[in-house]
Amino acid sequence: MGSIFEIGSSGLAAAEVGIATTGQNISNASTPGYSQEVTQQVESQQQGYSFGYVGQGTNVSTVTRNYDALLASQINSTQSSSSQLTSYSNLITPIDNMVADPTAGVSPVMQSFFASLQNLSSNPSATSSLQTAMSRAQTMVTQFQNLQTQLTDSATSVNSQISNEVNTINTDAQQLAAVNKAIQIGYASANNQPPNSLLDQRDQLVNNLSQQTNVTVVPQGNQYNIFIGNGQPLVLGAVANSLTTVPSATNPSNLDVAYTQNGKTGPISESNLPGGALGGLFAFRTNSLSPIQNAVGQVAIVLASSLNAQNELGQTINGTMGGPLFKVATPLVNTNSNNTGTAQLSATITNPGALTPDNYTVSYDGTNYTITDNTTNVVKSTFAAFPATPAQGVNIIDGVTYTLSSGAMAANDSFAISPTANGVIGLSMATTAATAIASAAPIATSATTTNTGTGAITPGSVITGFTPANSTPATTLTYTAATNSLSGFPAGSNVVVTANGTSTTYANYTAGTAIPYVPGMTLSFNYMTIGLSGKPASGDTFTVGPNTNATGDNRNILLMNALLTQNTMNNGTATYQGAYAQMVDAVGNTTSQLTITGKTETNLLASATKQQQSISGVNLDQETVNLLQYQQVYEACGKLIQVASQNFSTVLALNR
Amino acid sequence: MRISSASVYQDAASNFNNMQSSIAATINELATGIALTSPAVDPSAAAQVLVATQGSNVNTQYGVNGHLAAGALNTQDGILSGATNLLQSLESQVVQAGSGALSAADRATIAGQFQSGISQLMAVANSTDSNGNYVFSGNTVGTQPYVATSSGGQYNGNQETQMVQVDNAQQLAVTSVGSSIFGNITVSPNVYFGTASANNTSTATISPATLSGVGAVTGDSYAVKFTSPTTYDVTDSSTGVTLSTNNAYTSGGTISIPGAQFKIANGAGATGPAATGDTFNVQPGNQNIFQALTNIMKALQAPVVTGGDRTNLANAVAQANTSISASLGNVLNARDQIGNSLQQITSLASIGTTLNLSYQTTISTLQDVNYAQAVSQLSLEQFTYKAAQQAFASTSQLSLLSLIR
Repeated sequence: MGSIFEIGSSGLAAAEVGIATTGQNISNASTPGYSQEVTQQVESQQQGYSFGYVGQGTNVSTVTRNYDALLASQINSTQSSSSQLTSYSNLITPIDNMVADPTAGVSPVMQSFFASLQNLSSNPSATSSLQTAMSRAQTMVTQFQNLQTQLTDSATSVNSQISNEVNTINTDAQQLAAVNKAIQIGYASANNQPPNSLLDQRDQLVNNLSQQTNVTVVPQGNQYNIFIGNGQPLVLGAVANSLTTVPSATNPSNLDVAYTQNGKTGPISESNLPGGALGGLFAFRTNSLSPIQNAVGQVAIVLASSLNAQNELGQTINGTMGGPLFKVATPLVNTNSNNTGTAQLSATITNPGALTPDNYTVSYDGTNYTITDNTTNVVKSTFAAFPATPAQGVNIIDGVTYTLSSGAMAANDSFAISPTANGVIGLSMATTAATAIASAAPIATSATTTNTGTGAITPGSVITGFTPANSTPATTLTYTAATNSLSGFPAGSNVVVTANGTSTTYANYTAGTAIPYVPGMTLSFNYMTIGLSGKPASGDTFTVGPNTNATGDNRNILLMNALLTQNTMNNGTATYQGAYAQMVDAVGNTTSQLTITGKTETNLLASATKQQQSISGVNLDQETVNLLQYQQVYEACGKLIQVASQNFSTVLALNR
Repeated sequence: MRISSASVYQDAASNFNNMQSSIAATINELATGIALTSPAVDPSAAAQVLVATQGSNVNTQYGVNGHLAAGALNTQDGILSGATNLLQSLESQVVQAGSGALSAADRATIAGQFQSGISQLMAVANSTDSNGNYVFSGNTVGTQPYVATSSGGQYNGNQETQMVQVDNAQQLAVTSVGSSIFGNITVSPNVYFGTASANNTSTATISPATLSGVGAVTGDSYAVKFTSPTTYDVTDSSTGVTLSTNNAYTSGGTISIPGAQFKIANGAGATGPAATGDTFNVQPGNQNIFQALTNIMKALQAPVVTGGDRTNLANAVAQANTSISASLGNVLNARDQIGNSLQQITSLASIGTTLNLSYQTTISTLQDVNYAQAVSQLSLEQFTYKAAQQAFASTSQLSLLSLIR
C-alpha cells in the first residue's frame, strides 16, 4: 500500500519537474544562447518479491540541455568570418560610393580644370581665362582634399573601433572567467549536476568573442580556456588576461593590438589576429585604406609635379618664367620605434613618373641594406653602403631616392616608407595668382623677313633646365650656300644635330664652325630645340631668342593640356584618369567581392544556426505537447494516490 | 528536421529585410536611370565609364575649340578678302601707270592713289579681332604688326602662330604671321640686289650683294651716287639718311652697307668708267608690299624728263607689277590655308559628333538602367515579397496552443 503512495508521489514530483522544465523552455524560447532543457527521468529501483519485481516509482536523474559542441564551434568560426566581412564591408562601402561619384569624385574636377586650360589656350591673353583656370585648379585641389578627409576619417574610425573591439574582448574575457568560476562552484554545490544556464551563458560569451576575433576554445574539465592570436591565453580557467592598444611600430598613426601578461606588453601582429570585427578592421586598413590612399596620393603627386614641370618651362603673361603652381607632397617616412641606431632616413621623389602606389621598407641587417617593396614583397635592392651619388637601382627605387640624412643604422633597424601616402595631404596651391600660369613658350624663332630662300624654322621648344639666360642674347644662325652649312651658334654650347634619324654632337662650339645643313634637321643647344627645313638662300638668317610681348602665345598651355591624355604615370603606362580608374576598379572589386562572400558567409551562418537550433532551439508546439503530457501524468498520479487512499479506506472499513 | 520556433521568426525577419532592400535598390535604379550605382556593382564598367567620360569631355572640348577657331579664321578671311580687292585694284593702277602717255599731273594722281592704297592696306594688316588683339602679328597679339616708315612699312610682330587643339593629334593655326602675308615678296635670289640708273652716262656695273656680317640686314633700300668719277656718297634711301660721303672709288672695290657688301666696276671702252652723277640703287631681295608700293609711288612722283627717266619709270612699273601680283599670291595663299583649316574643322566636327555619340552609347550601355528589365524585376520582387508575407501570416497562426481551449 505504502509503495503505491510512493509511486504516485514520485510521479507527481517528476511531473512537476517536467512542467517546470517545459515552462523554462517556453519562457526562454527567444532568449539568445538558450539551449532547450530536458528532464531526464529514470525508473526507481524495483523491489524483488518471490513473485517478481514491483516498481517503486520514478526519479528525476538530471536536467540536461540539448547542446552540440561541434555545431557550436562551427557557428563560432562562421560567425568570426562573417563579422570580419561585415566590418570590412561597412568601412569600404562609403568609399566605394564616393570614388566614382559624378559630383564627389576627383575625375570631374580634374576634367573641368583641363577644360579651363583648353579655354585659356583659345584666348591666352584674357585675364578672365587665366582667373578661371586658376580657380578651377583650386577647386581640383579642394576636391582631392575632400576625398582625403573621407580617408582620414576612415583611418580615425578604424583606430577608435579597434579600441572598442579590444574593450569588448576584455569585458567578455573577464565575464567568461567569472562564469568559468561560477560553473566550477555550480557543479560542486549541486551534486555535480550541470548548471545549464551558466553553460549557456558561457557559450554565448564565446560566440560574442568570436564576433570580435578568432578564438580557440580548449575545454579542460568543466572549464574553458580561450586562446587568441598565435596562442596567447586570453582566459585560463577563472583568470582573464587583457589586451590593449599600442601605436604601430612602423606607423605611429595606426593602432595595433598588444597582449599584456605579468605586466609585460607585447604587440600581436595583424596577421595573427584574423577573423571577427577586429580582423575586418585590419584587413580594411591594410588591403584597402592604405592602397586607396596611396593610389589617390600618387595621382595627386604626378598630376601636380607634371603640371609644375611644364609650367616651369613656360613664360607667364608678365614675361617671366613660370614657377610651380602646386606644392607637392614628400614621402611619408616612419622610423621604426624599435630602432636602436641614430639614423635619419630621407626619401625624396626624384621621378614622379616612376612612382608606384606601394609601401617600402629600408632595413639593415648589420652588413647589407635592403629596400623591399612590401606590397609586392619584392626585394628591390641590396647594397653594403649608401652610394655617395644616388644610383638608379641601388638607392633610387621606383622614382624615390633614399639617403641617410644623418646618423647610422644599427643592425635590425628599419624604416617604413610610403612614397605617395601623403600625396593629397601635402597637396596645396603654391600660388593663387592667376598670372602665375605660364601660357607662353619662353623662346620665339623667326626667319628673317629679308630672307630670299624658302628656308623655314619651327616654333622651337625648351627642355628642363632652360633659363632665360640660355636664349639671351638671341642666337642668329646664318646659312652659307657655298659650304651648305650653318654657323652662328652660341660659343661654348653643345650643339646636337639630328638629321635623317642620326644624331651628331658638336661639343663646345667655337665661333665660325660650320655645321652642315640638311633640310628637316633638328638642332638642340642650350636646352632649346629648333627644326629647319626648306631651301635657304645664301646669307639667309634664322633667329632663336626670347619671346617678348607674346601675349597671344599659348604654346605652353597646349603642352600642359596634352598632359591629360599623356601616359605620365606608372612608367609611362597610364594617364591620370587611367591610374585613378584602376583604383576605382580595385575598390569596386573589393566591395563586390565582400558583398558576395559576405552573402555566402551569412548564408553559411544561417544554415549552421538553423542546424544548431534544430538541436538546441525551443519548439513551442513540442513544448505544448510536453506540457499536456506532464499535466496528464500529474493528473494520473493524483488519481493513483486517490486510488491508494480509497483502497486504504476500504481496508479500514472492513473492521467496522 | 526539428525547427526552433525562434528561428521561424528570425528567418522571416531577415528575409523581409533582404527583400525590402533589394526592392529599394531596384526603385533607386529606376528613379535615377543608372544601374551602375557604385563601382561595386560592376568594377570594370565603372573604370571604363570614368575613362569614356574623360574621352567624351575632351572630345566635346575639341568641338568647342574648333568652333572658336572657325570664328577666328572666318574673321581673318573676311579681312583678307578686303586685302585681295585692294591689291587687285592697285594692280590695275599699275597697269595704268605704265602707260607712256601720262602727264606729270596724271602720274601725281596715280601716286596719290598708291599713297592711299598704302594706308588702307596698312589698316588691313593692323586689323584687330573682337578682343582688341591684332590678327596678323603672330602671337604678339598686343603689338601692332606694321608700322609705317619712310620706305613703306616694317613688321614688328613675331613669327609664332597661336595654335588651337582641334583633335587629339591636330592643332590648327588661328593667328597669322603678317610678314608671310604682307611681306615675303622675293624680287631677287640675293639679300640685296643693285640696279644702275637708266640715266647713268657710264656703263659701270654693280654686283649682287653678298652678306658681310657687318651690322644687321635692315631691309632698307640704299643708293650710291657718284659725286665725281673718283668719289661717291652712300644714302639709305628708305630713311633718307646719308651714311657716308666722298668715299674714294676704285673700280671693283668693296662698298659696304649694313649687313652686306657689293662691288661697282667700270665697264669697258670710253664710257666705261663711272661718271659724276651716276646712281646705283640697292634694294632688298625680299620686300614687303608696303615697300613695293612706296617704290612705285616714289617712281611716279619723280620727274620724267630724260629717256633714262622714262626707262627708270618703266622698270619701276614692271617691278611693281611683279611685286603686287606676288603679294596677291601670298594673300590668296593665306586665304587658301584658312579655307583648308575651316574645311578641316567642319569635317572634324562631324567626326567629333559621331565620336561623341559612340562615347555616349558606351557610357549608357555601361551604366544606364535597362528599364524593361528593371521594371519586370521590380514586379517580380514585389510579387515574391507579397507571397512571403502571406505565407508567414498564415503559418504563424499554426500554433498548437490556439487549438487547445
